[in-house]
Amino acid sequence: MNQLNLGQHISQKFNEELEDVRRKVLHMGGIVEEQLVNALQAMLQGDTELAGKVVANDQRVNALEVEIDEECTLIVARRQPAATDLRLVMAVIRTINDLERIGDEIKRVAKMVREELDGSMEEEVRLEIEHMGDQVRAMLSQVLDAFARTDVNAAVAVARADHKVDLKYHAITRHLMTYMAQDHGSIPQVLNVLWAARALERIGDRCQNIAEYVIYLVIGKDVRHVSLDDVMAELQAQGAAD
Amino acid sequence: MSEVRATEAVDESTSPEELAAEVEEAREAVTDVLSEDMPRAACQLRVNDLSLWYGDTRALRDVNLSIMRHRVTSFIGPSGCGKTTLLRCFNRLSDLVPGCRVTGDVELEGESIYAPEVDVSQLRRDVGMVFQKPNPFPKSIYENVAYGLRVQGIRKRRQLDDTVEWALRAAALWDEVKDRLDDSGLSLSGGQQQRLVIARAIAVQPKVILLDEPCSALDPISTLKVEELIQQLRDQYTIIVVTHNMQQAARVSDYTAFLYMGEVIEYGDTDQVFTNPRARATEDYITGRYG
Repeated sequence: MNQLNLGQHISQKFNEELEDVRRKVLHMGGIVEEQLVNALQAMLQGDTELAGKVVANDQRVNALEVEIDEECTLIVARRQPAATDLRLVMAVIRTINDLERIGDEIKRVAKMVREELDGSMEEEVRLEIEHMGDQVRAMLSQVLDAFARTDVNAAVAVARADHKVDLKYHAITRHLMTYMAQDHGSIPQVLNVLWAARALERIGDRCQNIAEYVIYLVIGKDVRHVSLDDVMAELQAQGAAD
Repeated sequence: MSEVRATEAVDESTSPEELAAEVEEAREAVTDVLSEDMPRAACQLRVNDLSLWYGDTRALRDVNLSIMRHRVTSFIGPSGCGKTTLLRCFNRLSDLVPGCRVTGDVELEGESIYAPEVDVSQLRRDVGMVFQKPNPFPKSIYENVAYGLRVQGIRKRRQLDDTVEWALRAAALWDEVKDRLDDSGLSLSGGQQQRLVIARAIAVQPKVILLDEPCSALDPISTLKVEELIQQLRDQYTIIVVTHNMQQAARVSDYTAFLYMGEVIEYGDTDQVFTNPRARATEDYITGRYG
């Protein structure tokens, strides 16, 4: 039951409504991805103009959240969806909430660039932030892909990847603490980098959330607060049974 | 109102409370309604390899089901899938159809209902039925409910009064009709008529109530009243509902069976069937996709 078969409803209009919502989520995800790429670039290059653009663009993300949310409400009111349709609508409502919050984290990073970060980071820290940014960007792009293809295995991979981002975040924190201990004058600057790293770490968490919604959508099991190994074991058992 | 029930329903050996506790305990032991070894106390009706033919047409194919006691079970499926046919096997209304042939068995509390010694009239008192279109008798409201009791030979006015009031209260109709019990049952609205028919069914203290699309002729408010009534009755009766309204099945029932072309395709916990059905055919049906 890996496919949503959205085109097979007897009601053509219902097909269109669900397909439309799904497409808009991917569109919203695309914008968030672009925002993340721009914010990372602005941060690493101290590009305040680009950062300003990112801050302004967050409106588009917010507007899409409201629009998709309303469409989902109407689908529930009109169609009383069941089974995969219901799970799709629920997954969409949750996903756009997390996408919007990812947008907020990105905006936070961009604002910091515009106001305080001037790109004059230690090379070592810059590389670590850049690496963490790449990890998070890959997670976001993979989880959107998993959503688009309703691919459970890809979603599980994304959920697992969050652990690496967390490790990276802790490494950067330790690193920055050493800087602060050595040079008290650098504390305001270093704190900003720390907040940025924190924002990236939170984006990773939210990508993990979305991955969990994709798993829920496809296999109908809520895997929040469940170990991924258990999920995989169950998936394999199911695969064997099918 | 409960006294009326108590005097008639009590078995010498066990009190109603003990029975309820025993049933509850047995029910908790059931993790899967599909399980073959459902504890007897939890199982009200058991269908074993039931097949049914109308002439040469096979309407039911090897149906196996256990219906949980004092729970609501719904049968869903497209027209002609056999859900009403199956329902009618539970009180042998199917006997009345010429050319109808049944193999396999249905057990009510462990006793075959197709055994030769079974008193079919008694069976139909134990397994009451309510149909799609409300069918009150052309008699007064009071006499509609008292009818089954009179047939059983109950003549005492006091007992009749008590039971009629109890049944009408249980059917959530008493307050609406208590001042006009002598009016014709046909003077009531469709929704009231349907609740009157349900009161008539429960007045004779059945074990099982079969509801065949009980709300399909009712407006949304009356439908909600009947659904509310089903919820109130489920603690005392085993209820089986056939419905085309999937949201209704999702709302009122504890267990749902999906039938297709005379077979039970899926049977399980209602919440699971409506959020994550196991079978593709169930999924297609409840989400309105092409089968």
